[in-house]
Amino acid sequence: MIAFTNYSIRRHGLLTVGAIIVAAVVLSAIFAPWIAPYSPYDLDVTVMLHGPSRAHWLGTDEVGRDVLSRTIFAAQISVKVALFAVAIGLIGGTIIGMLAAYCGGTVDTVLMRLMELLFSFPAILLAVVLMASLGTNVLNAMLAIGIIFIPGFARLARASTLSALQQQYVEAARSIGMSHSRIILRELLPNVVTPLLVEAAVAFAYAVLLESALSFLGLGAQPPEPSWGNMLNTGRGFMAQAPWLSIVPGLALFLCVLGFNLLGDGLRDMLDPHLRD
Amino acid sequence: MPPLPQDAARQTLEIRDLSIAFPTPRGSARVVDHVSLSIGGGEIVGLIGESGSGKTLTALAVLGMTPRGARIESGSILLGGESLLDKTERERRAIRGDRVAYIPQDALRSLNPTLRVGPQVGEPLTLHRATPWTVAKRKAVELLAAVHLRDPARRAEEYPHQFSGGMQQRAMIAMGLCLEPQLLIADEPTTALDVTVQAQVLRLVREIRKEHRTAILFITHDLGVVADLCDRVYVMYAGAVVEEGPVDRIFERPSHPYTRGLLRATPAMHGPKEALIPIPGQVPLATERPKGCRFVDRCAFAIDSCHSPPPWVEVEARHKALCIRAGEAEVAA
Repeated sequence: MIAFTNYSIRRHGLLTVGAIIVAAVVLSAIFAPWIAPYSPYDLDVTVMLHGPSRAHWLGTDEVGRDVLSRTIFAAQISVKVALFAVAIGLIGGTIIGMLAAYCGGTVDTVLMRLMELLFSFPAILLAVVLMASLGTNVLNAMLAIGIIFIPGFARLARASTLSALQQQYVEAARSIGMSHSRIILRELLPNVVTPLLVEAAVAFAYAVLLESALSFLGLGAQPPEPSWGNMLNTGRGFMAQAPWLSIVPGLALFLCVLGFNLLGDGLRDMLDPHLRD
Repeated sequence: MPPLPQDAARQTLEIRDLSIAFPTPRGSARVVDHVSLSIGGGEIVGLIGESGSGKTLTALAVLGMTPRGARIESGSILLGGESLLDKTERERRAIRGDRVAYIPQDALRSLNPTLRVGPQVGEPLTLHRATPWTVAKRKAVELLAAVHLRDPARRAEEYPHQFSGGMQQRAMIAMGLCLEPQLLIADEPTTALDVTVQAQVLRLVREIRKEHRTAILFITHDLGVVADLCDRVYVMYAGAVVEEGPVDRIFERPSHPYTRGLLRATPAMHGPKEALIPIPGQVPLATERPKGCRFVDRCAFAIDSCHSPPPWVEVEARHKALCIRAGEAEVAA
């Protein structure tokens, strides 16, 4: 399905860097309880707003919590939200896009107009509106971000399906009496999945950003639960006295997004036959 | 094997008076116009004509796979005496790949590039016979061996891009033969192949007919292949059958001016070299056909009465042409 056979570090340097960053973020999210030196919730009023030190490598916040530990635990929220959001977008978008392309006619028109309606809202605005109506918590953040992703995936899935439908093997499959659902799952899906996976890697970066933005606005992860977004929001008030409060989650966010973007671009280059060699 | 007489027992496939039209902004375009055609068991019948003459659409109608928008205006299609047009989509699906197999135009793009060849060849078994995959796999290897693929067990594990064009075509034929269909429709199966591979495929088609008494509808615009392979021929022009008959008679005594034009525009494999004479003009659009004979504007023998619908003229036994002047000495010369 995906040709990893022609992989080489030299040719795919950026892909490798991206993959390493992504692996680091995901691993630290999974193993946060073992990696983090402190609990992200433990207050220690004796070390409020202390700068980086041997005990607290990246300093402490306004109630004496360890910033490094909170940053590591925040990766959990980001990865979790991004994972579910991208899954919702990918699955929902693929189903809608493939159905629209396969059925054509009215089904196509109705579904794609609906997608365009969703697409026409600025993403962050749509997320805020959805969160406002759904209620503010992490689960709804996943749902809201996922819904934002559906139109993009749907368009891509529709376009790939339309081009796959032109292929003779679909007609051949019909001519041996294959049912519609089997044609979609067995013949078409493997041929449209590659561009969708590339898009998923890029969407992942965007999901992390959106989750942080929502948390920054107080709509995502609720304090004291750590999220890069709400840590940035807190840090904003202490910019002069304790710049590490903003710099550390900001850098974490930056690295994470960079990693997923590099991975996505690298995958696209590797899988796109036109850019190969 | 000698071709069966036309009125022998029951034909495997019988198309009667089939018309298919597409709606267009300039009115309905009748792309297949009152086509009648029959094929007996073990018979190879050629359907020839240039691109756009309605050959493929006729075949797709047999499979119940006419494209969106196509409307079947009249006629019937009988498979072993059973009417296909009255069946539901589900019933037709049960027939496709089981009783009727189709080998599409471009075999090089008819195998799914993301799946291994073996599973694709064995697919009809799992679809129609609910055969367990392990059995279907063994059968797929046998089929690949039957179409003379070397090392079939290894080949079954490969992807289509590892196959050459001829091998892909043979794999498609293997898939078609999977359930030993009554009727095999091959739509220009040799067009994309080079001549030696083409010869192998044709030999394979003959073998299939001999072993399974399969009725074969062979669609092509290659007259050489028709002469080589078929028992009987139907010539299509602008949506209608204009001449039908045993292949040797058609080549010996082409009676419709279009068939004659077609033969004269094709280089002869044997015999003296003759200048190739193209047919003047172009095939009329389906919406702009002449009222009478559809060939009248391009025909060198047209007379006044050609502007009214032409009759079927029996030139000799089992050989007839849709031309008022068919059989006349001047036209046949």
